[in-house]
Amino acid sequence: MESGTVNGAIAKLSTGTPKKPGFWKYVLRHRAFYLMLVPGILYFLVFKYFPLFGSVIAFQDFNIFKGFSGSDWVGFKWFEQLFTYDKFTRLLRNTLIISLYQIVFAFPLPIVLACLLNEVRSMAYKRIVQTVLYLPHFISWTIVFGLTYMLLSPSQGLVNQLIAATGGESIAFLQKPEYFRTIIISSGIWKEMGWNSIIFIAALAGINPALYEAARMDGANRWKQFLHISLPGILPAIMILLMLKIGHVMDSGFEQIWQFLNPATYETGDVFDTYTYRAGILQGQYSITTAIGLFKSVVGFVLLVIANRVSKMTTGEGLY
Amino acid sequence: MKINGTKWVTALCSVVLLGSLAACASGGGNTSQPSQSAPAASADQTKASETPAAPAKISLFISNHAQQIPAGKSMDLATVKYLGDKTNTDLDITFLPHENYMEQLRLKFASGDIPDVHQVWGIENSELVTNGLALDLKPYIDEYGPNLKKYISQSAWDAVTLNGQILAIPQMAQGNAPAERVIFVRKDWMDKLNIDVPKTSDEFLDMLRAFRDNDPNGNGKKDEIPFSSREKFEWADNIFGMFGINVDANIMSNGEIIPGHVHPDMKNALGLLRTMYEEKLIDAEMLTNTRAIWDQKIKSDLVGSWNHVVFGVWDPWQKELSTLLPDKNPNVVAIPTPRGAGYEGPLGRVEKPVLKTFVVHKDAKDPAAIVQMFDWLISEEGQLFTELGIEGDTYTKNGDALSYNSDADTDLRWRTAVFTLHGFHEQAQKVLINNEESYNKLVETIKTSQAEGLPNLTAGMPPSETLTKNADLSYKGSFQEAAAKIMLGEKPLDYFDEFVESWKKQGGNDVIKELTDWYNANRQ
Repeated sequence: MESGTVNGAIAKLSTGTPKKPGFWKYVLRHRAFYLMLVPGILYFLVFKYFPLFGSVIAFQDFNIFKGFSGSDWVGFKWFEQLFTYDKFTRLLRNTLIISLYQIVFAFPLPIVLACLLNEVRSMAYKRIVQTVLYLPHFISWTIVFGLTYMLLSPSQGLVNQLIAATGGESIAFLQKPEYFRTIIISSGIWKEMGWNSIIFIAALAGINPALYEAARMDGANRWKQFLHISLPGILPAIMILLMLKIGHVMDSGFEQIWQFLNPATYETGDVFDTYTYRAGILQGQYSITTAIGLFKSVVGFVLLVIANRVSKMTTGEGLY
Repeated sequence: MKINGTKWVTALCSVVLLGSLAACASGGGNTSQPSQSAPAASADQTKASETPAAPAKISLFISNHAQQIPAGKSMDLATVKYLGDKTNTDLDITFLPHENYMEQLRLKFASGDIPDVHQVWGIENSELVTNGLALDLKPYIDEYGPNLKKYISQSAWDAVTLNGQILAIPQMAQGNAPAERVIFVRKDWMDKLNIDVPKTSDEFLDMLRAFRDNDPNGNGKKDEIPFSSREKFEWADNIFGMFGINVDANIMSNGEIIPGHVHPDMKNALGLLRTMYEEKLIDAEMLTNTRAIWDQKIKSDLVGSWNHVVFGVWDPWQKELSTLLPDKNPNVVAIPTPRGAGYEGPLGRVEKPVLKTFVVHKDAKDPAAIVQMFDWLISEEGQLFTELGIEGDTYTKNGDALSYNSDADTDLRWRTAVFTLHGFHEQAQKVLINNEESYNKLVETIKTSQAEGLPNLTAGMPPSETLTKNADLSYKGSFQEAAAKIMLGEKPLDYFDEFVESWKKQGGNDVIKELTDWYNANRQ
């Protein structure tokens, strides 16, 4: 509706007065819209752009009492320390593998779930399923870890009691590197699948019902309808979320991994975020922390640009 | 419908945006607050000097010591109010959560929120000390601290003195037992199985094997955990202590000072842990045990032996086990640290002459009042206050005899944890424990601890430059993984040599050099 009036106004302007009115005059005329824009712009300036200047401490030996202006400049020292750290390749490998698993296993499931729910006829059943699947999203990772511990602990865990009852040897799942990623990915799916499906359910609801009607007239069955109407209908949403996920490939979910990680599982589970926390925040070394953050952002940015290009070339959808 | 929907969305968006604007505005207000309150405070100060009766305002950051402290303004708490009234101070105490106290403290400092007094464990952990922003308290203590001088030992003062300046007020080691941790054993289990106190690491293993096999808790199940410990290898100190090392101690070896976690003797200690894990003598979950889970296991009558602080013998262990398992007659005792096979030298926990310290900021308005407040806390009257609470409310004095009402004393746990400065007050401990046998047990435990301990060669040393800049070199860094792998049997014991080699290359050699140079310059 609003965008309609804006377009109308522009149309009126361009046809009614041949002379282009001044910019400020234009702003004045639509002051209500610009006024509404101000809080948003301020928000981004104050909370998103201004803090960017803080990144300079990646090139300083930052001291909290000397501040940005007083701390000594050390050039690329922290980046050198990071890149020469003997476990650097392992951090990179773990981060990328966990992110890749998340994209391959955790990302498609909400889409599947949304499509399945979309086909359910009984509204009551659909609502109940949806609610039950959302709920874990509101539980903190600390509690999810507690639940996982109750399931997997060798002394009291349900799973191990089952193994023991069937004559097997109990397994310390949480201390074995080979199980770590599986546990991370599956607990992540359990917690977030329902929540992440909301956006796809919304996208499916936004598809024009006339399209389905027309397809039915042409004799398309439900599968064909899904294939040719539902899927193309939510493809833009899928692509956008996928690209955002690729942009965050270096963030693998600190809160979750930190809860599950212990020295026995560093091998497969130690990622940049947890290393940053251990070596940086806990020791008050803000410079190295910032350097790692900056490195992650640059990698994420480059990947995002590439993904956007590829997506535009193949599906025509892009973030910008 | 559709149009309506869009309108709603627009309206909602603008509400959200306005909300965020309001949030910014109030955020801005918050950040400017300190600068506003500073002149206000100094105005109060001038008022205070006009009328000497007005209490001195002191702001403090202190760990909550993992205790439940009632919410609200600190002066509204009866305990703090009493302290304030006694010392003519207006105390504004911020209790920060114990689990990430140091992190929270740094974040507060980074945002410019620096109190008059803050608590740290060793002065080397204080950013104010390392940046030269801590006040030299020597002149004030000389003038206003007669009790501090009387009750605090020279070794404790040494631990807070740098270049002749006293940079903090220390809390004495609890019970005057600087080797603050001991091995606790369920004596009732030992008696049931006829086991003598183990003198060597082999005898210790035999005791654990007996716990594992003979069902000492008598429930018919083989669920005993012979020895339990916690994550980060932090509560197995006296196991390492059988070989004269601790992960957080710096130990002499061939004229060099070497951090415990890379000391040659660590290899033997890890070998012992490996055996314990292999034979299921140590908690299989020790790498993931949090304090709460560990606690729970001990209180559930599952654990035969564990490592904890000296004072833990009565509260929590004996006290809580007796309440929880009345029909089992649990009996918790401390045993002297057994001698590791093939090792000769001092045993046990590294000596910590101070438990925690209070650092005063250079710009504190009234250092005299601060020192006087702490001086009262360690005076005879203050000692009784920290141990027993408020006279008339929780304890009463009848001539020389004391009587204590534990039911009325709800603040006991956090009051003693936060405010105690003295080492041991015999009379107060006696009425507090209120049980001759348990009191003797505590005294015995203190004696056990005092008879052992590793010398603390680098007490009072400013933090090693290399270690702070490259935290991975500390025992909380890559050592954790190497030790875990060796203990779990995923790597051979000789992997330790490989780890130490790589540690040295990553900067460890500089750490050893810094430690050794400091020791040679300051302690020889």
